Amino acid sequence: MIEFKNVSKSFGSTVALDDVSLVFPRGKIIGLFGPNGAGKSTSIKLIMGLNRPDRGEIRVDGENPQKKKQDVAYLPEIDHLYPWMNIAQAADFTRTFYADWDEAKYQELIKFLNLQEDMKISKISKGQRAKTKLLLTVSRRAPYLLMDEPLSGIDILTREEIINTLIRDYREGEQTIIISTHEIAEVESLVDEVIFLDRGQVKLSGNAEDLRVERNMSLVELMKEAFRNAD
Amino acid sequence: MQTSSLKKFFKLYSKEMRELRPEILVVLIATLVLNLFFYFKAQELPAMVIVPSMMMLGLAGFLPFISSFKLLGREWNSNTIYLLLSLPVKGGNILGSKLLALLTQYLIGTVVVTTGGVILTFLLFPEPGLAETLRQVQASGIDTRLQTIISSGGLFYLMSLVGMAYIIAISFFSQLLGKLVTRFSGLITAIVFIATFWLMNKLMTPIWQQLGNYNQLHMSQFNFSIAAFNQLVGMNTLIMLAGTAIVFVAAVLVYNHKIEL
Repeated sequence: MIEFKNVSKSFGSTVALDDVSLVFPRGKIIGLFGPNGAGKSTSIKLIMGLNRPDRGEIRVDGENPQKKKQDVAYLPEIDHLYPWMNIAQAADFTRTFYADWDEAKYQELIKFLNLQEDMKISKISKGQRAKTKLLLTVSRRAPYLLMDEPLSGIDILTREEIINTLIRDYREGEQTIIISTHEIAEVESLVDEVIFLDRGQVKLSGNAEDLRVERNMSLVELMKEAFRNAD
Repeated sequence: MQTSSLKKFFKLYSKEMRELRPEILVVLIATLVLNLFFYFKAQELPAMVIVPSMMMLGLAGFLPFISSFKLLGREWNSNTIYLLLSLPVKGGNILGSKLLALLTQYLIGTVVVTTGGVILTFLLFPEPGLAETLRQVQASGIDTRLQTIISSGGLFYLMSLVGMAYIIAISFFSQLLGKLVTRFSGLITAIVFIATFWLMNKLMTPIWQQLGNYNQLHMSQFNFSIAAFNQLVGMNTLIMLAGTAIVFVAAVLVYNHKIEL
């Protein structure tokens, strides 16, 4: 379980998170939704230990995120792989650091995602880079998987492949996936829990199905309504 | 399967060595080209042999310092810092692997240049010319035994290696402090670099002065001893090593506790 207790984080005069208290339950797929600047990426980076809260505390299974990096797989929005590496070298680099690397899964996924090990990261398309990042993240059997805008700027076919990969490899009840995105329609069918963020505060949160039934709206409509009312 | 800490460190070190490959190749190729040029052009003036060696030694000694900025700065420029910071390893491993790679670059560069210089000297000063020169040097009172050359030369080289580590540690520390601010990062890096260098020199100067007094007591132009000279170089190396450790630990602390994305 991941807990945020009265977490605030600012970058200069910009407030990214403002006294946020949240619980990300274990074994669920959680959608972290909101417009640009809502605080989604900051939340993900705080869980990953790439940022530190100004106030409040974050606990991953009761521990400081800095001590739980071994248990968290992270897929950032930006291209963070070494461009001179090919896919095999990037996989070799990643597998050295994580005891939960699943070689069989990696071999299976590389075929499923239509990638080749000798593809050089600097030479492949944006979609292939997104798939490579996904391959390296999902090939681990990490208890927590954090995905920051995994579908951003990706064509529709690649999006489908990414979502299919997530559905295919998700270990229900065992693994927690947090997907931060504003492409809600694409992941609507995937998420169990949702958290809507706006200007650093939680606007709405709860079980996705309960919210849909209760308000008789899709998550996209829910978000539109929530943010329209906010203005 | 759990990977050992040593294997993780070696993986990081291999990555850094791959990043430094172009600079290492530049030194290797430039040494070869320059030595060949002087071999063919300086036949009439063999004393010119010192020119390519000194030029290349300067380059080989200076490049790791320049590379230290590239090696760390590039992690931010190419966003690979996201990957590094998300790895389950501490700053000691990250910065340690970079430091070791830069020292390897220095080692390869200086050894190649020195070897090239020695070969060029033997080619341009064929026997008995070199042996005669050595005899003349020995006659003037300087110890030219191989054992002495190796021990004093080795110690001197070790001191230069530690000196390089010291400069690189300051470079890491200043760059990391520069990364803590979003604006004028380069300027902050430059100011911190100069300030740290000045402060460390202030800290080490009293120890060096003590060493200078010891030096005057035990060694003069009338009482020159290789053993005392080696002791002096060794002590200097130890002082610099302590300085390097202090700055490096400070850099690691900044990396572990202050760096954010």
